[in-house]
Amino acid sequence: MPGYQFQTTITLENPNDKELIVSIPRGTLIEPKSTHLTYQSAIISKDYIFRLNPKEVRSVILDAECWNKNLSPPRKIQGQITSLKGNIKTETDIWLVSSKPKSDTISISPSQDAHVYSALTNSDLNIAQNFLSFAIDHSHNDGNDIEKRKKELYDIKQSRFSSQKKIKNLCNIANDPQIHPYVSAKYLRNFLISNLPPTWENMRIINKMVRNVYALTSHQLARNLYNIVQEVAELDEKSKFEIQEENQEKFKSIARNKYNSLLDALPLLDEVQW
Amino acid sequence: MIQIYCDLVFEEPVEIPFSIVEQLLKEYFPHSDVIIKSSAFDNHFLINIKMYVIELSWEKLLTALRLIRGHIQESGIELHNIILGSNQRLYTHYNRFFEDNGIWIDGLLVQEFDSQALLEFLKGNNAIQIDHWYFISFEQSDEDTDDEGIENVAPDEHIRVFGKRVNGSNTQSGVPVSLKIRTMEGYTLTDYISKTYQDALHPENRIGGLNVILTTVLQMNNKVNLINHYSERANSSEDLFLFSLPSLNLEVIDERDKTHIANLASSGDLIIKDIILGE
Repeated sequence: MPGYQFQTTITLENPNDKELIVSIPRGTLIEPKSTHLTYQSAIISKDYIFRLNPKEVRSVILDAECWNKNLSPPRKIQGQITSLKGNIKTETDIWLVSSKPKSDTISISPSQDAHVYSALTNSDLNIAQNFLSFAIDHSHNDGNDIEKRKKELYDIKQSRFSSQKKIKNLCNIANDPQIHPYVSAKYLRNFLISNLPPTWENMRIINKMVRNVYALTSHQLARNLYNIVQEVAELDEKSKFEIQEENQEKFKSIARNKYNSLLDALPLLDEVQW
Repeated sequence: MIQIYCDLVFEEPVEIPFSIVEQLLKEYFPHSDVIIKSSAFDNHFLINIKMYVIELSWEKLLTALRLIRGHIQESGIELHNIILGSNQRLYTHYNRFFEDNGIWIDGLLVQEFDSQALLEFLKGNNAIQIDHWYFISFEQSDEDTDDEGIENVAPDEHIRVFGKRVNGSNTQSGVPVSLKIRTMEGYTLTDYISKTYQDALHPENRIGGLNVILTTVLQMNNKVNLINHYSERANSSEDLFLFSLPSLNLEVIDERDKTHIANLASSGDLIIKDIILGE
């Protein structure tokens, strides 16, 4: 196991006239004071519970591990408690947790449009391209002249641009006033129903899109949608470990129901202030 | 179980702990079996990885391989190619591998999976077909991380609102997300960190958190050396990913836990007279 253990001493004082229970759970982070930031923070490696008598002052020694891989080991450095805990519930390799961002992290740029289409481009470029094609067709059917945009979309599909550049160009097309009404959440719902069967893989893509939406707006609706996709993701995880086919089907059926509810609620995104 | 063979190709023998490669793969495929050995071929050194996975996500596999490459490159070793197939290697005479550096995916593997998702994935990653191989150049994948799309951002209200939304709190779930920014001259790193994360932390100033966030953000950006200058007003820009707390694998403790040391200290029910880190 990388990293190493060291001890942390805390002197506690109970200023009250009654007994005080103090818990310091595994995962609690203690950082060095600002004057010593080149030293490692400590992550508590066990669960501790202490009972302090009224007015008692007592030092306690705690087992900790270093949180920062590339900083200096602390040697009698002044620290301070934080209101944070490291996500080490199921992990003993601390540096694996502290050195790499969570694997399902999505990356967004500051100028990303607060719009459902922008969230989709940032989740799956192919689906975003196909949906834009769908939107362009609808705009065309309604009598708009969007041949130039059609050509631009074709060029993007054929190009070897970086994904960032593709996202930017797709969003530019989607922002065309003649196309923008057709990349709404309502149209997206129709597109998803007719083009994206609710397989686990597809549900994961929509899960990612909703996480993007949640990162772009504080609206309660986005929060509710996010809660649904978290539930779908949990069912997805459960299903992977389920041996019995019957139970796998059960999980999938529940997930599909939730996914359908999500699609039904999607058009409401067109009505909220992002 | 799905079986995947993956070869990392080097110009000369290298000393890379297999455990690091295994760790990175396991991070993305926690329930996989990974067997790693090394071999030599035509003056090249190969690390041969055999992987058994329950379910294969191509996106995850590519991300894991890119991370492995990044890790190797960081230690100053040039990784020439990554070759993916479903069978033992059949490419002994294939010289193109050594002309173009990138990820080569055996067409047989594509046929075997016969999956629309895989073809879409290859298309989305600008893979080109060469003979019966699909090739994703390293240059192409590097292009995604180039300057394009990185914007100058001041530590202002926008960043604060973004942080408030994505970091989460006791009443609201956070979301694992990163904001790619370029810092601006005249501001300190502390300005960025406090603006992005202050709202998620306890308002009571007896309780810390920003220091460990700062060091973790720098660590995950591979820029720990900036810690020497964290309080200086910068005279140059720096590209930085501002990760949300869930992405940093950090969580704010539940303020309803009335016995937690941080909650007791912030309410004044407990006085922490001293903390000493290390012996």
